[in-house]
Amino acid sequence: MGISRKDLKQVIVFQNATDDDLNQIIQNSITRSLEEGEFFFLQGDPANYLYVLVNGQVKLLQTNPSGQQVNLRTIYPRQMFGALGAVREQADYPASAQALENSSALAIKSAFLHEMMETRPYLSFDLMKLMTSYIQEMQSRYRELATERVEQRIARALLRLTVQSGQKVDEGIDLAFSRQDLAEMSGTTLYTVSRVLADWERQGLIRAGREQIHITNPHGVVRIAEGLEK
Amino acid sequence: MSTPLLSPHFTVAETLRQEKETSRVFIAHKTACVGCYLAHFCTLEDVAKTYGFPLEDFLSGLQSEAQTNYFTGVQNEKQV
Repeated sequence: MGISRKDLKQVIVFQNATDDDLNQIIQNSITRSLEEGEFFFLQGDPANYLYVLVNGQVKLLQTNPSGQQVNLRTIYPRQMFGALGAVREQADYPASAQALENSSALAIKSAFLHEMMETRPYLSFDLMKLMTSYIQEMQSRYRELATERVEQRIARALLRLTVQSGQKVDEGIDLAFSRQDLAEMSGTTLYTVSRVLADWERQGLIRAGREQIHITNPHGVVRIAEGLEK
Repeated sequence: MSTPLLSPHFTVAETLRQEKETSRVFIAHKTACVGCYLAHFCTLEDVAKTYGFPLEDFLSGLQSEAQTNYFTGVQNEKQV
Protein backbone atom coordinates (compact mmCIF):
# COMPACT_ATOMS: atom_id res chain seq x y z
CA MET A 1 0.00 0.00 0.00
CA GLY A 2 1.48 3.36 -1.05
CA ILE A 3 1.07 6.84 0.32
CA SER A 4 -0.65 9.78 -1.33
CA ARG A 5 0.73 13.31 -1.57
CA LYS A 6 -2.09 14.41 0.74
CA ASP A 7 -1.05 11.87 3.40
CA LEU A 8 2.61 12.79 3.04
CA LYS A 9 1.75 16.46 3.61
CA GLN A 10 0.44 15.52 7.05
CA VAL A 11 3.93 14.41 8.10
CA ILE A 12 5.34 17.25 10.24
CA VAL A 13 8.59 17.43 8.26
CA PHE A 14 6.72 17.70 4.94
CA GLN A 15 3.93 20.05 5.98
CA ASN A 16 5.39 22.93 3.95
CA ALA A 17 6.49 20.85 0.97
CA THR A 18 5.35 21.78 -2.53
CA ASP A 19 3.49 19.25 -4.67
CA ASP A 20 6.57 18.97 -6.85
CA ASP A 21 8.78 18.18 -3.83
CA LEU A 22 6.29 15.63 -2.57
CA ASN A 23 6.27 13.95 -5.99
CA GLN A 24 10.06 13.79 -5.98
CA ILE A 25 10.07 12.28 -2.48
CA ILE A 26 7.55 9.63 -3.53
CA GLN A 27 9.57 8.86 -6.67
CA ASN A 28 12.73 8.37 -4.60
CA SER A 29 11.19 5.99 -2.13
CA ILE A 30 9.90 2.47 -1.86
CA THR A 31 7.13 0.99 0.25
CA ARG A 32 8.17 -1.70 2.72
CA SER A 33 5.53 -3.94 4.28
CA LEU A 34 6.43 -5.99 7.34
CA GLU A 35 4.63 -8.51 9.47
CA GLU A 36 4.24 -8.12 13.20
CA GLY A 37 7.54 -8.63 15.02
CA GLU A 38 9.78 -7.96 11.98
CA PHE A 39 12.29 -5.09 11.93
CA PHE A 40 12.49 -2.13 9.55
CA PHE A 41 16.09 -1.70 10.75
CA LEU A 42 18.35 -2.82 13.56
CA GLN A 43 20.38 -0.73 15.97
CA GLY A 44 23.84 -0.22 14.41
CA ASP A 45 22.72 -0.68 10.77
CA PRO A 46 23.81 2.10 8.36
CA ALA A 47 21.03 4.72 8.32
CA ASN A 48 20.53 4.64 4.55
CA TYR A 49 16.77 5.17 4.65
CA LEU A 50 14.36 7.21 6.69
CA TYR A 51 10.78 6.06 7.05
CA VAL A 52 7.27 7.43 7.13
CA LEU A 53 4.79 4.98 8.62
CA VAL A 54 1.81 4.45 6.31
CA ASN A 55 -0.15 2.02 8.48
CA GLY A 56 0.37 -0.13 11.56
CA GLN A 57 2.50 0.68 14.61
CA VAL A 58 6.25 0.57 15.11
CA LYS A 59 8.28 0.46 18.30
CA LEU A 60 11.70 2.14 18.50
CA LEU A 61 13.83 0.27 21.00
CA GLN A 62 17.40 0.41 22.18
CA THR A 63 19.28 -2.58 23.57
CA ASN A 64 22.23 -2.43 25.94
CA PRO A 65 25.19 -4.89 25.70
CA SER A 66 23.57 -7.23 28.24
CA GLY A 67 20.41 -7.44 26.10
CA GLN A 68 18.13 -5.25 28.21
CA GLN A 69 15.68 -3.31 26.03
CA VAL A 70 14.26 0.16 26.46
CA ASN A 71 11.28 1.32 24.46
CA LEU A 72 12.08 4.84 23.23
CA ARG A 73 8.78 5.62 21.55
CA THR A 74 5.92 4.19 19.55
CA ILE A 75 5.44 5.44 16.00
CA TYR A 76 1.97 5.91 14.54
CA PRO A 77 0.85 6.42 10.90
CA ARG A 78 2.20 9.57 9.19
CA GLN A 79 5.05 9.87 11.69
CA MET A 80 8.67 9.85 10.54
CA PHE A 81 11.36 7.63 12.06
CA GLY A 82 15.00 6.74 11.42
CA ALA A 83 15.80 10.19 10.00
CA LEU A 84 19.32 10.47 11.43
CA GLY A 85 20.99 9.53 8.13
CA ALA A 86 19.42 12.52 6.35
CA VAL A 87 21.12 14.89 8.79
CA ARG A 88 24.43 13.19 9.50
CA GLU A 89 26.45 11.43 6.82
CA GLN A 90 27.48 7.82 7.43
CA ALA A 91 25.29 7.59 10.51
CA ASP A 92 24.12 4.32 12.03
CA TYR A 93 20.64 3.83 13.44
CA PRO A 94 20.84 4.42 17.21
CA ALA A 95 17.82 2.16 17.81
CA SER A 96 15.91 -0.71 16.21
CA ALA A 97 12.45 -0.29 14.67
CA GLN A 98 10.13 -3.26 15.18
CA ALA A 99 6.62 -3.60 13.75
CA LEU A 100 4.13 -4.00 16.63
CA GLU A 101 1.53 -5.16 14.11
CA ASN A 102 1.53 -5.72 10.34
CA SER A 103 2.85 -2.36 9.09
CA SER A 104 3.83 -0.52 5.90
CA ALA A 105 6.22 2.37 5.65
CA LEU A 106 7.58 4.59 2.94
CA ALA A 107 11.37 4.21 2.87
CA ILE A 108 13.03 7.39 1.56
CA LYS A 109 16.73 7.44 0.69
CA SER A 110 18.55 9.42 3.40
CA ALA A 111 21.04 10.81 0.86
CA PHE A 112 18.17 12.06 -1.33
CA LEU A 113 16.50 13.95 1.54
CA HIS A 114 19.88 15.33 2.61
CA GLU A 115 20.36 16.68 -0.92
CA MET A 116 16.88 18.24 -0.91
CA MET A 117 17.54 19.91 2.46
CA GLU A 118 20.48 21.80 1.00
CA THR A 119 18.18 23.83 -1.25
CA ARG A 120 14.95 23.80 0.78
CA PRO A 121 15.25 25.52 4.17
CA TYR A 122 11.68 24.56 5.15
CA LEU A 123 12.79 20.91 5.31
CA SER A 124 15.59 21.73 7.78
CA PHE A 125 13.30 23.87 9.94
CA ASP A 126 10.53 21.30 10.00
CA LEU A 127 13.01 18.53 10.82
CA MET A 128 14.36 20.74 13.62
CA LYS A 129 10.81 21.06 14.99
CA LEU A 130 10.56 17.28 15.12
CA MET A 131 14.00 16.92 16.70
CA THR A 132 13.40 19.57 19.35
CA SER A 133 10.11 17.95 20.34
CA TYR A 134 12.00 14.64 20.78
CA ILE A 135 14.71 16.36 22.83
CA GLN A 136 12.10 17.96 25.09
CA GLU A 137 10.40 14.62 25.58
CA MET A 138 13.70 12.92 26.40
CA GLN A 139 14.60 15.69 28.87
CA SER A 140 11.29 15.17 30.65
CA ARG A 141 11.86 11.43 30.79
CA TYR A 142 15.37 11.92 32.13
CA ARG A 143 14.05 14.24 34.84
CA GLU A 144 11.39 11.69 35.74
CA LEU A 145 13.97 8.90 36.01
CA ALA A 146 16.27 11.02 38.13
CA THR A 147 13.74 12.52 40.50
CA GLU A 148 10.40 10.77 40.56
CA ARG A 149 9.15 7.68 42.33
CA VAL A 150 8.15 4.72 40.22
CA GLU A 151 4.37 5.12 40.58
CA GLN A 152 4.63 8.68 39.32
CA ARG A 153 6.78 7.59 36.35
CA ILE A 154 4.29 4.90 35.38
CA ALA A 155 1.42 7.41 35.62
CA ARG A 156 3.29 9.85 33.36
CA ALA A 157 4.13 7.12 30.84
CA LEU A 158 0.47 6.07 30.85
CA LEU A 159 -0.62 9.67 30.21
CA ARG A 160 1.89 10.04 27.37
CA LEU A 161 0.48 6.89 25.80
CA THR A 162 -3.03 8.27 26.33
CA VAL A 163 -2.17 11.49 24.50
CA GLN A 164 -0.71 9.46 21.60
CA SER A 165 -3.36 6.79 21.24
CA GLY A 166 -6.16 7.13 23.81
CA GLN A 167 -9.82 7.04 22.78
CA LYS A 168 -12.33 8.96 24.85
CA VAL A 169 -15.34 6.78 25.65
CA ASP A 170 -18.48 7.41 27.71
CA GLU A 171 -16.94 6.70 31.09
CA GLY A 172 -13.26 7.44 30.75
CA ILE A 173 -10.50 6.72 28.24
CA ASP A 174 -9.51 3.47 26.47
CA LEU A 175 -6.05 2.65 25.22
CA ALA A 176 -4.18 -0.39 23.98
CA PHE A 177 -0.59 -1.20 24.98
CA SER A 178 1.38 -3.99 26.61
CA ARG A 179 2.62 -3.88 30.21
CA GLN A 180 6.10 -4.52 28.85
CA ASP A 181 5.85 -1.28 26.80
CA LEU A 182 4.75 0.62 29.88
CA ALA A 183 7.64 -0.88 31.90
CA GLU A 184 10.17 0.12 29.24
CA MET A 185 8.71 3.61 28.90
CA SER A 186 8.84 4.23 32.63
CA GLY A 187 12.22 2.60 33.24
CA THR A 188 10.98 -0.15 35.53
CA THR A 189 10.20 -3.86 35.50
CA LEU A 190 7.16 -5.74 34.26
CA TYR A 191 6.60 -6.97 37.81
CA THR A 192 6.46 -3.41 39.21
CA VAL A 193 4.08 -2.25 36.46
CA SER A 194 1.73 -5.18 37.19
CA ARG A 195 1.85 -4.46 40.93
CA VAL A 196 1.13 -0.73 40.45
CA LEU A 197 -1.68 -1.35 37.93
CA ALA A 198 -3.29 -3.87 40.31
CA ASP A 199 -3.12 -1.27 43.07
CA TRP A 200 -4.69 1.40 40.83
CA GLU A 201 -7.40 -1.06 39.86
CA ARG A 202 -8.21 -1.58 43.55
CA GLN A 203 -8.43 2.22 43.96
CA GLY A 204 -10.88 2.40 41.03
CA LEU A 205 -8.58 4.49 38.84
CA ILE A 206 -8.36 1.98 35.98
CA ARG A 207 -9.56 -1.38 34.69
CA ALA A 208 -6.65 -3.32 33.22
CA GLY A 209 -6.95 -6.02 30.56
CA ARG A 210 -4.17 -8.09 29.00
CA GLU A 211 -3.08 -5.59 26.38
CA GLN A 212 -5.46 -2.74 27.06
CA ILE A 213 -6.51 -0.43 29.81
CA HIS A 214 -9.59 1.58 30.60
CA ILE A 215 -8.89 4.70 32.64
CA THR A 216 -12.01 5.15 34.74
CA ASN A 217 -10.68 8.09 36.74
CA PRO A 218 -8.37 10.12 34.46
CA HIS A 219 -7.95 12.87 37.04
CA GLY A 220 -6.79 10.30 39.59
CA VAL A 221 -3.97 9.25 37.24
CA VAL A 222 -3.08 12.93 36.60
CA ARG A 223 -2.96 13.45 40.37
CA ILE A 224 -0.39 10.67 40.76
CA ALA A 225 1.61 11.83 37.71
CA GLU A 226 1.77 15.42 38.94
CA GLY A 227 2.13 14.57 42.64
CA LEU A 228 -1.04 16.56 43.46
CA GLU A 229 -2.79 16.27 46.79
CA LYS A 230 -6.04 14.32 46.92
CA MET B 1 -21.05 41.10 16.77
CA SER B 2 -21.66 38.13 19.13
CA THR B 3 -19.34 36.83 21.84
CA PRO B 4 -18.11 33.23 21.40
CA LEU B 5 -20.27 30.85 23.47
CA LEU B 6 -18.63 28.12 25.53
CA SER B 7 -20.44 24.80 25.67
CA PRO B 8 -20.15 22.21 28.49
CA HIS B 9 -18.99 19.77 25.80
CA PHE B 10 -15.95 21.85 24.87
CA THR B 11 -12.71 20.20 25.91
CA VAL B 12 -10.28 22.12 28.11
CA ALA B 13 -7.90 22.36 25.13
CA GLU B 14 -10.63 23.79 22.85
CA THR B 15 -11.63 26.33 25.50
CA LEU B 16 -8.07 27.50 26.09
CA ARG B 17 -7.40 27.64 22.36
CA GLN B 18 -10.50 29.72 21.74
CA GLU B 19 -9.99 32.02 24.74
CA LYS B 20 -6.61 31.68 26.35
CA GLU B 21 -7.55 34.19 29.07
CA THR B 22 -9.93 31.59 30.51
CA SER B 23 -6.82 29.96 31.98
CA ARG B 24 -7.31 32.43 34.88
CA VAL B 25 -10.66 30.83 35.66
CA PHE B 26 -9.20 27.28 35.65
CA ILE B 27 -6.45 28.45 38.00
CA ALA B 28 -8.85 30.40 40.25
CA HIS B 29 -10.91 27.21 40.63
CA LYS B 30 -7.70 25.46 41.74
CA THR B 31 -7.79 22.92 38.89
CA ALA B 32 -4.70 21.33 37.34
CA CYS B 33 -6.20 21.67 33.84
CA VAL B 34 -3.84 24.27 32.33
CA GLY B 35 -0.95 22.29 30.86
CA CYS B 36 -2.53 18.93 31.73
CA TYR B 37 -1.83 15.89 29.51
CA LEU B 38 -5.57 15.22 29.29
CA ALA B 39 -6.67 18.70 28.19
CA HIS B 40 -7.79 17.21 24.86
CA PHE B 41 -9.90 14.56 26.58
CA CYS B 42 -11.68 16.37 29.46
CA THR B 43 -14.75 18.48 28.74
CA LEU B 44 -15.80 21.45 30.88
CA GLU B 45 -18.56 19.20 32.22
CA ASP B 46 -15.93 16.60 33.24
CA VAL B 47 -13.89 19.31 34.99
CA ALA B 48 -16.85 20.56 37.05
CA LYS B 49 -17.76 16.98 37.97
CA THR B 50 -14.18 16.01 38.88
CA TYR B 51 -13.56 19.02 41.11
CA GLY B 52 -17.11 19.09 42.47
CA PHE B 53 -18.23 22.61 41.64
CA PRO B 54 -21.49 23.69 39.92
CA LEU B 55 -21.17 23.52 36.13
CA GLU B 56 -23.31 26.63 35.63
CA ASP B 57 -21.10 28.81 37.86
CA PHE B 58 -17.96 27.46 36.22
CA LEU B 59 -19.30 28.08 32.71
CA SER B 60 -20.47 31.58 33.53
CA GLY B 61 -17.04 32.37 35.02
CA LEU B 62 -15.36 31.17 31.85
CA GLN B 63 -17.89 32.97 29.68
CA SER B 64 -17.45 36.23 31.53
CA GLU B 65 -13.64 36.01 31.25
CA ALA B 66 -13.96 35.22 27.53
CA GLN B 67 -16.36 38.15 27.09
CA THR B 68 -14.15 40.62 28.97
CA ASN B 69 -11.19 39.57 26.90
CA TYR B 70 -13.23 39.62 23.69
CA PHE B 71 -14.44 43.20 24.21
CA THR B 72 -11.03 44.40 25.40
CA GLY B 73 -9.59 42.82 22.27
CA VAL B 74 -12.15 44.56 20.05
CA GLN B 75 -11.40 47.88 21.75
CA ASN B 76 -7.66 47.40 21.31
CA GLU B 77 -8.16 46.57 17.65
CA LYS B 78 -10.13 49.81 17.18
CA GLN B 79 -7.39 51.81 18.87
CA VAL B 80 -4.81 50.31 16.55
